[in-house]
Amino acid sequence: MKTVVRNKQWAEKYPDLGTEPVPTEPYYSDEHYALERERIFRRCWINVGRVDEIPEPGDYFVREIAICKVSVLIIRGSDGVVRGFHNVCSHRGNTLVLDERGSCPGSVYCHFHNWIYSDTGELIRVPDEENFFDLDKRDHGLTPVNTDFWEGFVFVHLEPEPAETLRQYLGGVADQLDGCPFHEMRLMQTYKVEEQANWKVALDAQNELYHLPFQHRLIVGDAFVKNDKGLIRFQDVNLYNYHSVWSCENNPTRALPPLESMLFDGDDEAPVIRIPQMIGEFDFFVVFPNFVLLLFDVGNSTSYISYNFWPLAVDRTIWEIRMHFREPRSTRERLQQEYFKCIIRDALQEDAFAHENIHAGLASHAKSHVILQDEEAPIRYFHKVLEDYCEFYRNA
Amino acid sequence: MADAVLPDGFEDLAPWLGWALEPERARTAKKTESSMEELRAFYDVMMPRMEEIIAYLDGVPSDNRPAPAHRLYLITLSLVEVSNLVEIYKRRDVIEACDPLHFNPQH
Ligand code: FES
Ligand SMILES: [Fe+2]
Repeated sequence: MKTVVRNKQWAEKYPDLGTEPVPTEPYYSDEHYALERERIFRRCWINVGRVDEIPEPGDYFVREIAICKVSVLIIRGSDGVVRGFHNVCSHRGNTLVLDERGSCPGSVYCHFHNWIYSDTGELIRVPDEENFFDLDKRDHGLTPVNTDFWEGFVFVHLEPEPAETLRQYLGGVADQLDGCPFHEMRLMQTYKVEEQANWKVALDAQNELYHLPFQHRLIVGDAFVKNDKGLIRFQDVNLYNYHSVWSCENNPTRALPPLESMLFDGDDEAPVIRIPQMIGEFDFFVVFPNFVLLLFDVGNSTSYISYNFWPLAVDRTIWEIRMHFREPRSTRERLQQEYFKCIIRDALQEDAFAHENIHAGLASHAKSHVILQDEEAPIRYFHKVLEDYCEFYRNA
Repeated sequence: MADAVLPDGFEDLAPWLGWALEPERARTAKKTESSMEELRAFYDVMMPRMEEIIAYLDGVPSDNRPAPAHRLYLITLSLVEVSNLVEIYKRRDVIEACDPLHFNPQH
């Protein structure tokens, strides 16, 4: 076992992190939400999807970054290049593409007056063009959004001149996960869960395992290595420039429920294929501000889940969950994946229930601070980065 | 012979054809509408057949299953859908979770 079950080890590893309580106001304050819009969602690289979603020329998807009131069109051009644009027509500002995803090989047209754009963003046709005044189509293509890629993930940055490249921004996360074969794991299911909770309430509630033996006691309470008091200890915590990862080890003595036992006992495939980039057996990367990559093994294959927490309002969030598994090589493997999908989904339904209750408690103003223990260090770090961006207290 | 509903050797599972549902949300909906007794009865019939079902489905191309094999496959996915409730929670009143249908699967 690699896990050391010692107390207070993350405060020792990261002494600058502090140990004080964390204020609750950022969870419910409209003023803080406005700062998040301007200083975080407009100034950080935001994950909007994957290039695998749009494999063919003309394939596109649209992402609403609701907190910024921005709709981004990500489209693969006839030249094979994936680009990002504001999803807004150059004529009178109509929203251009109305479907969340689709394919429009060659061109995109506006539903208002039928201005037509190429799939690489140039304005190519204007009805009644001669009746406009000095209209040069070359000046009126779609407005680009800074778009960059890492291991197939598409990120956008809403500022015209990002202070850092995507690579610099991802920092230690990219260093750790470079070369990870995300493209070999196909998207099996997406859930969009709308919640009456602040996006940070939802994210923070996922960003620790202290709650596992309690809130999830029946369903996954026994999944990971614990100390002699039955409390989970991370195998490792790593803090990067803005991001973090916690890692843990599976509990080797967990009693398997009958179906899981049946699906995995008969497994005669080669031993677990481990991705060398993984730190533990279950790695939870938080890519600031609202993206999570969760890597874990199912049987003999590595799998991953991504979360995007999309703020809709200070007290409303869409929690988008995407589950990815390798192409199954047998019926048994396919059913193993289905089993994990269902068990994780059902555990996350317990979380979704809790998020709204937690938000209600925080928004009542009953408590000025929340109190964090050592195993909640990743949450502490998230709030430190949040404050570094927002300077809500620094300028108060 | 007219088109079989289920593959040879699995005709006895015909009473459970109501579980041959897709997509995922349809299986989840049937789970939420069924009583625990109904779920347990379905589970008790299916579990002892799982090895046999897996062996059968492995002999059929997974990207082009004939309709009877596809129905058998979907019933098996339904078994996975309900197993957690039957094996782990055992009773609905111990669950503290959102409505399962609030998780809106996109596929
Ligand atoms: S607003 Fe798009 S064509 Fe007029
Ligand atoms: Fe949880």
